[in-house]
Amino acid sequence: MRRIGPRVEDLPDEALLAGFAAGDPELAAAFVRTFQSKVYGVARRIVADAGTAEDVAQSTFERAWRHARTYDPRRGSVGAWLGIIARNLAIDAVRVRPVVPVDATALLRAMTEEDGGASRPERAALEAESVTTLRAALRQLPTEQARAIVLAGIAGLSANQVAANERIPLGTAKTRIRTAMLKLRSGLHQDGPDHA
Amino acid sequence: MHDLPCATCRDLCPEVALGAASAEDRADVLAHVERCAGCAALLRSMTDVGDGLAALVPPMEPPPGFEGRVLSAIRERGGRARPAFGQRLRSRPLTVAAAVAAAVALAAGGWLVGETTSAPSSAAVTSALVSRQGTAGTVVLVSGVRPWISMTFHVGSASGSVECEVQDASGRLVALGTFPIVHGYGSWAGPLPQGTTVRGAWVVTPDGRMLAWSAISGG
Ligand SMILES: [Zn+2]
Repeated sequence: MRRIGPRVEDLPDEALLAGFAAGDPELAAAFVRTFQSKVYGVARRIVADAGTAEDVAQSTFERAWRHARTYDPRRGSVGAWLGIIARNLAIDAVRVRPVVPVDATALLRAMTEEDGGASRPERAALEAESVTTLRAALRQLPTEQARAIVLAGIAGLSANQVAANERIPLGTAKTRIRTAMLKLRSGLHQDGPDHA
Repeated sequence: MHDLPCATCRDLCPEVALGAASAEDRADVLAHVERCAGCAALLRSMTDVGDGLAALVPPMEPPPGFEGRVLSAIRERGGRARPAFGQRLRSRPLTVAAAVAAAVALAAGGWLVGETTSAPSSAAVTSALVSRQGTAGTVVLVSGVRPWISMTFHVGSASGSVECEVQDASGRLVALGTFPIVHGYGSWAGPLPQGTTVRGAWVVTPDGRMLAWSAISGG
């Protein structure tokens, strides 16, 4: 077979994932290169310590390699899937340590002001719709609700820990999380009809 | 474990969807949604929000050398993973990345052999899979020491199974196997016999109706 066709860097994400899991050297390297800043970004925002964040990011790729078969493209992009794995592993890493106060203001600013930053333009176009919609909905939330859902959903705090972090009663923390969730959910679903 | 009333379940769904619930609450909610379609749909839509939040976190470059450390860590583990998997590979079609995992096992010992940056070992050719209605998916062919094919198929919303065939340069048809389609979507991958030059690929129903095809441009 002649080596024509797209460069490795231009392959669809799913093909990069398949190649990564299959152990193809070129595709595996391209896969890690493509997604490492996304994965590390999530890990680093949740885990305060750079060394632990790198461990989490590395574990994320190992898990993606072992569980590539569980990736379901209908649920979201490969980047989003990796982001979720990174978030879950980072939260686990944080849970085994004493809780340090989380800077919700900085976290929220990073998520609402910066462009979620896809590394390739066509990737940005693919993700743009739901990500942009969600970011806009997050911006429109009252600050205290936005802080609560980001502390729970990204920093991995339990409702109890959100209450302690925000110095509010547990019931108030739960209400803020729930109200924010319902608003974001209707924001996501009113703009974009369900499609795979 | 308690049998939750729907109202309690719905109250707990946001925290479960965000990964912030206690293990007990999470177990109760997951048990309830097994039996309750309404709460299951609610939890799924909230999980989409929780997952979407992770996508808003901006990227950050990892420390230098990260890519190499990831690849070598996986290479070390790769040789020992799933030793039995590869044996089943030739006789049994595989779904999605299951085939991919099998290819890992097949390649045991050879995973990422050599420097990843300098290995010109493979080339990938991507072709569109088309149906009468238009684009129906993608075929990716990777040549090299261990050639393999992956296909993504998405037409309509039916579930069932399809057969996948490729045609080689001499016009001979090679059956790759039977694969499941769920709500119109299917994805699979697997190794190709050494030396196969693929000219085309088909997705066919069990009763022989061609659903989608692809003319491979890179042969
Ligand atoms: Zn229910």
